[in-house]
Amino acid sequence: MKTYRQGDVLIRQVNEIPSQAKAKKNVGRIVLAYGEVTGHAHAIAEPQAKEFTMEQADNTVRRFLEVASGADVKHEEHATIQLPPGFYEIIQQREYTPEAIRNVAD
Amino acid sequence: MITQLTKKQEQRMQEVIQHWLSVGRSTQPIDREQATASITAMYRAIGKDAPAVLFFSSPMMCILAWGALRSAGVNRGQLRDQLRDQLGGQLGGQLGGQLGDQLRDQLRDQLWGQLRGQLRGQLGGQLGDQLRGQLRGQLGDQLNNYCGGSHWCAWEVFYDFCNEIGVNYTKDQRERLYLWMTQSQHCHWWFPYDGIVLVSERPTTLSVDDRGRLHSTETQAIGYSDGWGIHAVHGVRVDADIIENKASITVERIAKEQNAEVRRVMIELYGAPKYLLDSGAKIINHDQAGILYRKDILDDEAMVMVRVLNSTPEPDGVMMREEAIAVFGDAAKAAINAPEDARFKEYMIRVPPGMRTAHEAVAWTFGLDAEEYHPAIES
Repeated sequence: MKTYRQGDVLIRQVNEIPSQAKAKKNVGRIVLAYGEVTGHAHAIAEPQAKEFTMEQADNTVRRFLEVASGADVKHEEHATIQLPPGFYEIIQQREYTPEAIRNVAD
Repeated sequence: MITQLTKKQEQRMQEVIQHWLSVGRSTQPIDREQATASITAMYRAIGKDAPAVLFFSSPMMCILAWGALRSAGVNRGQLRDQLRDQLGGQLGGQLGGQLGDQLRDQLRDQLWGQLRGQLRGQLGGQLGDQLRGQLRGQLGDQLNNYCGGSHWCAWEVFYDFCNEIGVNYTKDQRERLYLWMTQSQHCHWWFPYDGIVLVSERPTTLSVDDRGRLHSTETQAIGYSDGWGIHAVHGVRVDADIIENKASITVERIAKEQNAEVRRVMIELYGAPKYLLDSGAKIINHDQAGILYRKDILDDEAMVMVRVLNSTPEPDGVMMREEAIAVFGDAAKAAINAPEDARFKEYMIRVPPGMRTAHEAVAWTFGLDAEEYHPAIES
């Protein structure tokens, strides 16, 4: 099981896509993530690729990708990554936010 | 007995909440005629003559004006408690038998709770604390004698909505409720004295974050036409110069700050990565993934950040190849293989305080354990 990383997006190979995940319609281009400032995108332009989403109990959404014949992940500022055929989970990088301060002495 | 809301009533409740949030956060000048009429009606209802209603630019100016009036020999009793006692109206008792307990709790939570939290809590409370902090002695005592106007609308809006969905009140109760509703609609803060009322204009600027907390990193979060107001970041009140003159935030000043919440704001505005490097944070690990820094902070959790180099050179990068290799060593594999004139960007990401290695930290940013994170290709 290989993982690939392009900037702040990790693409992790998985054995299968969970059965609860729902397929999204492919409109010709699947955007894995948008850049925060530039509007650049990590994207796949592959008509056969399928994106799946699965809502979690904590309201976050896990995202999966099925690329039956492989796909290129492109981004304006990063080298293209070639994904072999298979199933993948798409994970976006996150940052730690500290808990609210308790018992602050004023 | 009313036990649940219809779809339409649910929707109506949301509209009511939105309406009152916008009234409470309004920066429009108040309609002085309507404000005067609504306050006069309340005075008459407790058997008082129409008061002289004086308008001032801010709650602070109302209090200073009262100080000036008192110095000039004007001495009038405070009327807030009398207004509240005589017009308060025992409405709670009317709900029993008419409104199911569960629905009552739901409305208390959603309607009352939200308006109270967002307006009285986030706005009124902050104004009160700011005034209390700036005023001393007898002038500070005037804060026992103000009505928060629309900031305090939650009580009357709750009972009015109960009425709207079918709870009956006596005519007398209904009339008193109407008095409160009208003043909430038309008034910001006001200070009632026997024969005289000092009314504050609304703020001219107001900015809140997505949780309704006073928030602006550029200017006052709430400001009045006379210049008085509050600087706050995500609901944490800070000194004006922290916002207006960010160069005044130094590592030394951050270290001296006693309040941990204010310190967090200062670090955020200073730039967390810059603070970490400038304050001499400890390097606790340096591996192929990057450099892990830790800065212990008094009364707050330690700040741990991982510093990494982007894998793909970028024309607008700020770090030359040589420098990237010097700083990152093993973690600069992208730079080692890059052409001589390549430029790179680096960045820092905050991670939980328990992280032990840079590799574990980077894995965490993708929700993975250290052993799971070994990208075959990085770009």
